[in-house]
Amino acid sequence: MPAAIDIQGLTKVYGFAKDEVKAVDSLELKIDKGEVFGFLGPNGAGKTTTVQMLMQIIFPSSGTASLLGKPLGDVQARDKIGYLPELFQFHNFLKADEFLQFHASLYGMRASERRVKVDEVLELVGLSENSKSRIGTFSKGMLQRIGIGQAIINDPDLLFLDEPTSALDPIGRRDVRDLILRLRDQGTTIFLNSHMLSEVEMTCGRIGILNKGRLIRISDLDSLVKPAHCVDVVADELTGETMEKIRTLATRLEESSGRLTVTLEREEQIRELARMIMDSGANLLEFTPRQVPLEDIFMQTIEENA
Amino acid sequence: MKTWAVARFTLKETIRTKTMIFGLIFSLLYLAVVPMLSTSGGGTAVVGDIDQTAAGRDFLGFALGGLNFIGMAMAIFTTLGAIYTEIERGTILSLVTKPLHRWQIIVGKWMGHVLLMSGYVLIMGLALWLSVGVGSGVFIWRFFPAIALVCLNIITMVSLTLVFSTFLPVIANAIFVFIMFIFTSNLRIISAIGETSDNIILVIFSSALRLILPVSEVSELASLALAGKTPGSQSIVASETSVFAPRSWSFIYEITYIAIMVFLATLVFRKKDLSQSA
Repeated sequence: MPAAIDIQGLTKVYGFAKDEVKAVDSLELKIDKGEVFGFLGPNGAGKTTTVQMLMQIIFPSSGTASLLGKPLGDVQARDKIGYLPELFQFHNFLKADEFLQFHASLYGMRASERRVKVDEVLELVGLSENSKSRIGTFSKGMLQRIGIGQAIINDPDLLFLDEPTSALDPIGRRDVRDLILRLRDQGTTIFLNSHMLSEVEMTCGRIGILNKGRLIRISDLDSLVKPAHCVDVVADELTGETMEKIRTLATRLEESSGRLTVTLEREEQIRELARMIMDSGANLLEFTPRQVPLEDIFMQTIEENA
Repeated sequence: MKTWAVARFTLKETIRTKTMIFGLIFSLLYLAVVPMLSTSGGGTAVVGDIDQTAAGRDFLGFALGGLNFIGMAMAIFTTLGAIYTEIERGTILSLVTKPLHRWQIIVGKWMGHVLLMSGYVLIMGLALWLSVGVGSGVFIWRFFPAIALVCLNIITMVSLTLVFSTFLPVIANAIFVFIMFIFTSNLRIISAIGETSDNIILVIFSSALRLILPVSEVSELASLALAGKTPGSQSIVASETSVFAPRSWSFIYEITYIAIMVFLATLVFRKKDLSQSA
């Protein structure tokens, strides 16, 4: 079975000679059908450029890729691909249902089929009551919803979402999250570009971290988040010797306003840490074990590769 | 079907633009003025001893010239941002990522503008023909081949402006197209300079330059068609040199020119990066 997305050495270079900037550098990535893949990276890392190359909005300087087993730009493959760009712009004069009708017609749907599909999608993105309102009058959140609507109107097998919740309030974010999970359950492959790490954590099975155009980490979310353990510690009278012992035990140690955040590799080390502090005679005021959030892993990865 | 969807959408979009609305208001004013002129002399004061048919034909010739100019200006202004503005706004992204070839977007856009502007010319032409006919009592059927040639001119301007809109911002596009239009409309001056200075190369060169934008020549062909004359039988302008007499094949050349322009637009757009982020 071909991969949903198969990227080989994809590179995008802007500028010439001294001004040359590699926005994306020799990207290699394979995403299986049915996966929800989170694509992370700081601003300017090359995430949007990557998606734009895959959608043939811009053309790669070198490298190749295939979507749903077909080469980039294949019109037949696009019949089963949906895309929500970052900061999607709309033709404001259209009403919501006209807008979706137009996009459905670009997929070659017949009029009767379009009518049914548009109503279904409007319901799905929570805009049924606004179907006759002009898009120009929509709030940012509503615009994002109608943008998602046009991306899923063709029941895509592969869906690219570039910052889908950036303009949404918490309720809207939850709705999009639920929608992603529902599409995942239906077998849709989703490529999610997002700054909302908590959202990625809740929806994605695998993540890739991109920095300065290079893919610096790729991993299953489970194996990335679960093995590491984090403990927040507040204690009085910690000696230098104890601190040194903690440093040796921890894979990462952060100190902020009297609070230590200790990252440990194994769960059993949590007890060892507690014992170490108690035995040193320090006054332990707080000891809160928790999983390392994706945000910390993300920051650590970026810092290590800076 | 997908190309047709883009065409219908373009038509819907363009008809709502301020340029189009302004153009339509101006056209209505023009429609109101022409019949007044055609009836003001009652067929005598203005036309003297020329018969009623000739008077009607002259008024229609005047109306046709005006319509040709207004139509071409509207075609330019409404097509200026056809592609570039969509790229700037980012609205093009929702089109190019759909299961469409890029050439379908160009052809769809072109069809939308052509349908709108041709519809405009045909309705305006019919209204002018009726108003002049009712005003002067003479209905001249030769007006319709002439209107078809005006239509061809307008499609040419749409096609040329569309090519530039694939890579030039609106203002630069306007400057280029108007410079081309003004330049090719005044080639007689260059030719006259050539004649005065006995420079035959300059005369031939200025004649050849008409091929850059054939609208002026086809406009003259339209006037000839209205007058019931064939190219070469009689010059429109008394002082005209033979090299500037409209050629009967110029409208066939113009059709080829339109096809080349649409092809060029698809060629430029085919491999164009459409993101402004770079």
